[in-house]
Amino acid sequence: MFILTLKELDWLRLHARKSESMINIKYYDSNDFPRYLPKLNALYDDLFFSGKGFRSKLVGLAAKHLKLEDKTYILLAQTIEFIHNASLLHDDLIDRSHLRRNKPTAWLKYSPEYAVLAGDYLLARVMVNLSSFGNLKLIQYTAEIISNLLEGEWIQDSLVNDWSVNLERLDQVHNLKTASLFKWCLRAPFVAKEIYDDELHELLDNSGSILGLLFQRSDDLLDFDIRNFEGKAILGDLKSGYLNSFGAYLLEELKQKQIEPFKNSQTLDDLYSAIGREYFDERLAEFDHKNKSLINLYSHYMTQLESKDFEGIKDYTKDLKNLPDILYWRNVKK
Amino acid sequence: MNTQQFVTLKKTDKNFKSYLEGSFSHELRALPELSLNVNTAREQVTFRLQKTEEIKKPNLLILLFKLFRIDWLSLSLGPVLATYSYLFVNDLSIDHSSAYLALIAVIFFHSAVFAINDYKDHVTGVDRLQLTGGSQVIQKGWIAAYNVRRLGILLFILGSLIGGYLILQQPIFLVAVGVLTSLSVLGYSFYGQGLKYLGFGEVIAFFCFGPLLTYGFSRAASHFHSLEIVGLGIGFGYFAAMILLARQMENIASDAKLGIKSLTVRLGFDKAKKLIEYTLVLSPFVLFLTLHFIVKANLSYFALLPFSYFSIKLYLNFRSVSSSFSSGVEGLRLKIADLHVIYSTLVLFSLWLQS
Repeated sequence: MFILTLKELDWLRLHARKSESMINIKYYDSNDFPRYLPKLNALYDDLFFSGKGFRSKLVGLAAKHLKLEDKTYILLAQTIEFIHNASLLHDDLIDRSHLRRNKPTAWLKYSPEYAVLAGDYLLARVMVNLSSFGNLKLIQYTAEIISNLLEGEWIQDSLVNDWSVNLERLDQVHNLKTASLFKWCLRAPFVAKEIYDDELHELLDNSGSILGLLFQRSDDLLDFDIRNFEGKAILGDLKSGYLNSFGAYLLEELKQKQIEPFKNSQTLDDLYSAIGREYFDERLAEFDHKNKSLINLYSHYMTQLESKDFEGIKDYTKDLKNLPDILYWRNVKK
Repeated sequence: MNTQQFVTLKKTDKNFKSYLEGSFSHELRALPELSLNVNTAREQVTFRLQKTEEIKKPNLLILLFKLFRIDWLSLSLGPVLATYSYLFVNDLSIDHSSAYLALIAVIFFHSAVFAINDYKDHVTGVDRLQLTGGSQVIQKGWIAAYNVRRLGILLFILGSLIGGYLILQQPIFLVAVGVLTSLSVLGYSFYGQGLKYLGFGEVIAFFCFGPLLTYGFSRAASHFHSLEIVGLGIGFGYFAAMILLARQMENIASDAKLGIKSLTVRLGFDKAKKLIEYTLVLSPFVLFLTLHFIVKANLSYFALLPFSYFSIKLYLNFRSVSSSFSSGVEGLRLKIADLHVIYSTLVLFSLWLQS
């Protein structure tokens, strides 16, 4: 799970919709869900009240600059948070995770059946809400994104305990699973406003892919205690038998005899003993360099985006340009 | 130019082709960025501009080795050497000058197919979406795409000239066969999306690296033909088709999204996996049939033991693969290529042992 610091959230809140009612947008309301279904509201209360709503705030950036109506913004924010949280409910059951946002996961606290159904219900609500809005292209696009998300999850599950998977393959998985929602956050506001320019959407798609990759790679680095400002638990992926992007990158150049101790590392000290601290630091520097190239490419896309002739695009691009620093380096520029 | 520079061009842009082919500049190379987005990658391309002097290239020999896929030459040389050995051990008269010409033509065609394939995958954007395959010489900026195209066409012409000379000494129906083979080779990559992407790749690979090659070489070198010569090619063609099947398995997800109708896409992951498993299990049987009916060398049955060991081991490793993204699929075609080399070596060894 990606963790933002309070400073990063403040930045996003300030740059999102400035109207008072929108700063802390309420995309979840228990009145939206039937109270006659046992435990459903309790499950959603647990799920939504501890979330930071990063994706809805990303949508908020677009909503501000594109001057979307409030109800459209709320719809989009709700849609993305519902999809994201539905995927969390399912993910936690698939991975058999015990904690989510420092609380017991839904499948553990309630039941696996309720966790699956609660996730499905959120996705169904998304379709109901979007249908009421009436923009067919938005419905179609959202359905595609959900489909991609599920594909990514399916494929990722097939890679557990695969210790030879490489970074390029994982990027394809993350592009489906993680980057899909970022792409949606960038594109959906334009679709909602019925701006369908192909080049614009291709740029947004490519930019969203990069943001998603940077987000995922930064999250994967947290697992190795890199820029782990919030003190998240480390080596969780490794211990679960899942090789994340940085793990795959580390493994690429290892000798055969180092792989087994690497896999079995329980602490960072074990890891450093297995592969050498110097090797770890070298690979980290190379990994960062790789991602700097991605950030350069992202900057190029932002320059292209800026030149597009749509109202609000220049200011929107200015805000988007700061995202790599937040997502990857976890720095917030004043 | 110290910082990375990018340029994004639409396919309708007048400079697009020159950037893609590398002819826009001698000092700079435009390297297309890999795309993760299948549906959107086809309208415009982002190039990363790099100074050609800053690109670390290997020496010319290694570059040509990689471009012409000399590491895969066993696919072509295996059947040719096996045919030559068959002719020799069976005391059939060989016209050595024709044999050498035929060998050179085969090497030219082999190199041409791979070079043209690389070029075509580059200009259609397939190599920006598929991570594996190809020599990578264009993606790495070692050589401009238009030069790869030129070299490919040149080698194809040279191979055709030599092949044409040899074929014209044959009966007319074989001329037709020769022309058909050449068209298949071109059609593999050049026709539209390439016949390989319409589900015919395995068939073409089977014939062109198998029976057509052994039969054609035998006719060229000694004017001899028989069912056994064709049979000799079947085993080689079998492995060539398997290699292509494995290659397509690696790219099944991106191929499906691109609308490419390869055999693995048509079958789907589960059935394609089963097909590969069956072909691996049956491969010792293919060797047995070749040794028993074609080579007819009793002692060489011992060759079945090590071969069976390798093929069954490969089968067991592959059986645990759970998706096309698994690492078990990643190197599969290379392992099957190794199996092809072992097969070729055992057939050659058995032929010479018999003499």
